[in-house]
Amino acid sequence: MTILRGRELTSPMSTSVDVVVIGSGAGGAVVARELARAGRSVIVLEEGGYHPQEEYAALGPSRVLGMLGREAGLGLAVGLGNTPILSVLAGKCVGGSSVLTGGVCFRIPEEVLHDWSTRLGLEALTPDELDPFFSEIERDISVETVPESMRSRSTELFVEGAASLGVPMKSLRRNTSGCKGASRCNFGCPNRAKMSVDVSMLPDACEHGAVIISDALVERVDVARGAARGVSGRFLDARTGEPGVSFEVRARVVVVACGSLHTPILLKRSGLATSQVGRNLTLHPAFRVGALFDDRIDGWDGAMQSVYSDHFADEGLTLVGMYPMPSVLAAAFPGVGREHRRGVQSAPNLAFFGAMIHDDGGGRVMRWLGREPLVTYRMSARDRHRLWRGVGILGELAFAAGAREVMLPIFGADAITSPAQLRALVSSPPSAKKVECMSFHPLGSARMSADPAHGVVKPSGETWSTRNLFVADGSVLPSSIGVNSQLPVMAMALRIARRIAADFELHGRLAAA
Amino acid sequence: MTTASFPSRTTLTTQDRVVLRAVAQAMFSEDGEVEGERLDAHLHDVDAYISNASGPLRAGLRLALFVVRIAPVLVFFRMRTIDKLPVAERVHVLSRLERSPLAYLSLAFIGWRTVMTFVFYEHPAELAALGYSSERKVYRRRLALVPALATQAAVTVAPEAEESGVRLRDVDSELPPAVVANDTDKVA
Repeated sequence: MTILRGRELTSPMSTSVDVVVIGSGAGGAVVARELARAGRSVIVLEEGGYHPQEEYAALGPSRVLGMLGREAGLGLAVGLGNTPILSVLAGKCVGGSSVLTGGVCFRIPEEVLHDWSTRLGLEALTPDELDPFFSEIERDISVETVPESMRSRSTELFVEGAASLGVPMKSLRRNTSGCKGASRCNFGCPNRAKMSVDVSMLPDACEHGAVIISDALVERVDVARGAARGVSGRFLDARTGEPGVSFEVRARVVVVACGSLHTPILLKRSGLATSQVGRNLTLHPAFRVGALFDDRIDGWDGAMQSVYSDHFADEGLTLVGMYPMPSVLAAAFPGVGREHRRGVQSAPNLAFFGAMIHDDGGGRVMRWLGREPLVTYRMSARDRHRLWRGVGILGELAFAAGAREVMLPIFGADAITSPAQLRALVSSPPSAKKVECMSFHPLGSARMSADPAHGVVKPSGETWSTRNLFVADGSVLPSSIGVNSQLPVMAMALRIARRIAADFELHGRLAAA
Repeated sequence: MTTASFPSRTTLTTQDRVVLRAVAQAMFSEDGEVEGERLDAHLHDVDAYISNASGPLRAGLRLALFVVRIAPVLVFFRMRTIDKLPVAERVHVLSRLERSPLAYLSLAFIGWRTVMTFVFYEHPAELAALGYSSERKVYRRRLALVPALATQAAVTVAPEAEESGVRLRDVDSELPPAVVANDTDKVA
C-alpha cells in the first residue's frame, strides 16, 4: 500500500477527483474502497500519520497510543452534573480507530433497528435491508468466533462466576485471522492478525487506484450554491505537527468520515446550517471491576476480549470480558508509593470483568480552543442507575468466581472483601464523578434522520443542507446501539457508498450545475 | 527513551520536571528502589508521550500538575510545595489528595498517576518483575491439550445472519463450535 505522507510535501497541492474522503477509519476506508472499485477516482485525506503495521507492532503501548491515538489516548468527555469524566479513545492515524479497537464485531441489535424504523421513521434500516451489507463486511474483514481455547484465565473466571449466578456467557466475534492471543488488540495487533482497515480495506482501495494522503488536515468543505465542491486544508509539519503547506482538492462528491468527535467540528467550520450538528452524542460508558484471587491468573495470556453476555440487555447493560495490558491495569490501582507498588505486584493474580451501558445519550461536541473539540456528557438518571447496577453485577460475579478482594472503579476507594460491602455501596453510591469510566464508541453527533429538523443527514447519508456532501462514520448512527460499533459503522458506510456509486452521475450533474 | 511523533514538541518546563520527578519518586521509589537515572529517563518518556496531545490538553495537564505541586497547601494548609517535602510526606500528601472529596482535585493527581504508571510499567524490567511475557504460555499449554482441535485447518467462521446479532439468548446450542485458527504451528 502506497501512502503519500503529507508531512513530507513541501509545496502546495491542488487537484481534482471524483470523490474526496476525509478520514481513513472504519467508515472512510469502506467508502474509499467501494467507490474506487466502482471506477471513481478517489483521494483519502487523513489527519493522522501513517504507521505501517510492522512499525506499531514493535512499539510499547504508550508509544502506540501517542502516535496513533487522538490526544495520545488522553481525550476526555467532561461530565456535567452528577456524571463521570469519561476517557474517550479514538484513533488518529491511517486506519483510524479500527487500529485501536479490540476487534469485537456485533451487528446492530434488531430491537435497535426496530426503534429506528418505527420511532425515528428510518424505515429502510431493517435487518433484512442491512443484512447483505453486514454479510459482505463480515466476510471482507474476516469476522470469526473467538475459540474457547483462546480464553484467558481471567475470562474463564468471568464465565465461571457468571455461570454460578445463572448468567450465560457467549463467545464474541472479532475481525481476526490467526490471532495468537497477544492481548494488546487496542494498541495495534503485533501479529497482523486483527483485520483493521489498514490491513483489510485500504490496501484494496489503493489497488483500485485510490490515493491516501496522511498528515492532511482538512480545514473546511468548500460549498457553493448549496453543493459541496471539494475541500481545503493544510499538511501538518513533520517537526511541530502544526498546519503548514496548503492543499485543495476539488471533487464531485465529498464524504466526511472523521468520526463522531471530529465530523461535527468540520461540518460546523464549513458553515453547515443546522443546530443538530454536534448534538445527540452517545458514548456507551464502559467500566471494569478488578477481582483479586489467591491463585496466579496471568490474565494477559489469551485473547483480550473473548466473551460477552446480553443477559442484562433489557436493563441496558452488556457484560464483556476484557483484560488490559499490565501497564494499563497498573493505573487502576489506588494508593501512592509502597501501597501502589504492592497493588501492582498483585497484578498476576488479578482478573478484570467489564460492562458497557446502552446509554440514552446526553453528549455534545463543540468547537473550542485549537483543533480538538470540547466534548461534554450529561449522564441521564437512568444511565446512572445502570452504572451502579452494572458495578453491582460485576462485583457479584467476581465474588461468585472466588475473588478474595474486589476493586471497584471508584477513584481512591479501597478494595472490598465481601458481597455485603458491595451491596451497601451500590445501594448508597458515591457521586458518579468519582467513577472511572471509559468510552470506545462515540456515536450519533451528526445523526441520520427522516426529516431535517431532527438530524444532519438523510437516510442516504447525504447532508440535509448541502448537496453532494455525505457523512459515513459513527456519527450518523441515530442512537446508541448497546454493542461495539466497528461493524455497524462499516456496514452503514458500505450502504452509503453503494448509494453514492449508484447515483454518481446524478451527483456529477448537480456538481456541474 | 522515546520521542514524540513531532520531535520538536515538548511540554514540561524545568519547574514541571522538578515537581514530576518528586511525584515519580514518591510513586515508584519510596524506598529508593528505582535509580535516579531511570527516574530521569521516565520523565523524558512521559514528556514525549504527552507531547503527542493537543495544546489545550497539554495545558490542562500542566494545570493539573500545578494543583499537585501546591497539594500541601490544599490538603494540609502547609505553605510548601510538594517537591520541597521529604518523600514520606509527599506520599502522605498525595494519598490525601487522591481521596479528596473534591473530585477535580483528586482527578488532578489521578490523571497524572495514570500517565506515569502507564509509561513506567511498560519498562521491560517492570514487566519481567510481574512475570509478563509476550510469549503466550497458558494458551499454548491449553492448545497442547486439545490436539484434535489444533490439527484442524485454519477456519474462518463464515457468519450466518442468525448468528450475527447480539441477541442470541436462546440459540446457544446453535453457536459454531470452537475452532482454532492458524495456530497449529504453536502446538508443534
